[in-house]
Amino acid sequence: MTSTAERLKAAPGETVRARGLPTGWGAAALIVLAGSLLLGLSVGPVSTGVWAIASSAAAHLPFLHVHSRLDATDSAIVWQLRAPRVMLAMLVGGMLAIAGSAYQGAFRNPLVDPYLLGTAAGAGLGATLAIAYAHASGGLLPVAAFAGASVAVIAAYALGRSAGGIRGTGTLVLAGVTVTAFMTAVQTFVQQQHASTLQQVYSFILGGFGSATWHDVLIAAPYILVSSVVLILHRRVLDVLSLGDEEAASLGIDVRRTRLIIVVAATIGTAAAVSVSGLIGFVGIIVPHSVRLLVSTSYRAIVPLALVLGGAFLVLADILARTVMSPAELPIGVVTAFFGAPFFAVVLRTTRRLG
Amino acid sequence: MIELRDVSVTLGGNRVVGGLSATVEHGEWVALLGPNGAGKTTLLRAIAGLVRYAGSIVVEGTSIADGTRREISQRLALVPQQPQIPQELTVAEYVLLGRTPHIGYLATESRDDRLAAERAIGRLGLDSFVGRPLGSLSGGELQRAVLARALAQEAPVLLLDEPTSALDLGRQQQALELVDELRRDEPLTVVSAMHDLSLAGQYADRLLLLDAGEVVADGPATEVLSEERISQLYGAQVSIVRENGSVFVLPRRRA
Repeated sequence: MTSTAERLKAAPGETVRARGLPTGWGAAALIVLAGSLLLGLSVGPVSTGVWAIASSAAAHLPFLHVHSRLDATDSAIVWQLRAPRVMLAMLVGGMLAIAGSAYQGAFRNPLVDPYLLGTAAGAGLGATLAIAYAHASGGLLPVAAFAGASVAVIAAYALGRSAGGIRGTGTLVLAGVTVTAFMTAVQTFVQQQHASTLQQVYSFILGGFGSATWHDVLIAAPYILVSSVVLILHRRVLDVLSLGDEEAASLGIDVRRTRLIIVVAATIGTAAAVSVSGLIGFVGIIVPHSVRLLVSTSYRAIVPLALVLGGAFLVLADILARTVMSPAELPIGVVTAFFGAPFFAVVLRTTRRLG
Repeated sequence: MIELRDVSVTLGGNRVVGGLSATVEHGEWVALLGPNGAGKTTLLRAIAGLVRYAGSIVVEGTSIADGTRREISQRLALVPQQPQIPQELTVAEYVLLGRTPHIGYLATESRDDRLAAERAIGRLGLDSFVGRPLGSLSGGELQRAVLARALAQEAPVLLLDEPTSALDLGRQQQALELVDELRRDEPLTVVSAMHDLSLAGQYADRLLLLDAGEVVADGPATEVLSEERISQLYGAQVSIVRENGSVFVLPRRRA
């Protein structure tokens, strides 16, 4: 805390500041992300040194004239197989974590995750229908999953609005639960009718980046980028919402419209992430809460850090998924929970906050 | 200045405020009194544009119904009875949230906003608390932080809902003295819902006594606070003590 003497020296307007995003944490998060990306590119059955990859990456940049130290085969492995996989893991992890933080802020409930409004069940149903009736794979699958997720969220929102009126986020949560239950039931029914599709549906639902291509990255990236930018711009507004609907309104925030914008942005990004990666649990809860416990409870820190660290977390989880039982792959959801839960338990125990 | 014309509020099918008219002059402090359920809080929320109402509410020359949320909050600051206190926010961050009506929707606060928050913090003697989390403050300190947030809003009208209900005797007096100082210096128009009739009589310029959403008495404490009226309205047994132009309402056990 500043002493009186220090305060007298401080210029006017300098003593009263929001902590915002601490520079040290921001820099550390970016370094962790960069490190995990390099690690993700270099780890695999064919070993390629980190420096060779760095030189190869630099060779792709204009004006630098760095000579790549990777031969053509290695270069193909790194840039056509590993790079899209690592990029997709980063985008999906960042999106799930930032969407989780936004949902928790918008609903003022620390336990909600980005699948709250039925995104997961909708995507699962969309994918199942596509696999069962259109024998879809590859290109059509993400589109069907995205459509399913959108239908689920629109249904949940419409139901919540018509039943709950202006206030009461509880109604919206219940609407999400209702839609999830219904869509899961339909999905299970369709699955039973088409038992031959079980394997494919199950592998989609478990999620993962084993078949990631640049095409997947290009499908998901625009939604995830737009959604992330919108959510980052709302970081201060999320702090205002933490005062509750009534006080936020008395401070000039149109609470209903603001919550709708935040939820729509988070949901579109989540739907895009789910459609290219399947259902990956726990990221949307564990990453924002780790930031909350370690750095700050202000959304000005949580939202941007969740994006960066969520990306790093899923890249690292994916490295484990493909190396622990190599050449077989673990489902990524198993890794995020198996390693994420103990990590979060340690964070929970070692951070001592107020109260 | 606040002009209420025929204001009614219906909540859940009940008419909570019924055809109420009143005027609060510029720089005046008016206390809303009345038993539980008389409509004090609802009337404050209506003035702040937080509930639907029929009739007309004009604040500083503009109807509340015509303004956006942002415009309304530039004219009115509301201190709720039980504010939500995010425990880990610092006093500085909390008071800065009071600048929201002046900050662009997606922007962060400017130097002007920090200066305004700093003035409000200084005004409430919270300088040494700027970096402290709200969860570490005492009840009285917290009340000052909430007032600082409202003051940082720089709205000409301050609405207070039971501003002293969580405070002990000394803190109640200090808080009301503070509001009185602030409203004279700034100057602010103050409307406060209050439970303590004696305190209300000493600090407010005028008392508005409500019952079932209607005004039953309007005037200075010496006129409004009579034994008969209070006994009847509150179903209470009281004695009225008059001393040096002040009126004290003392609850007495029935003999």
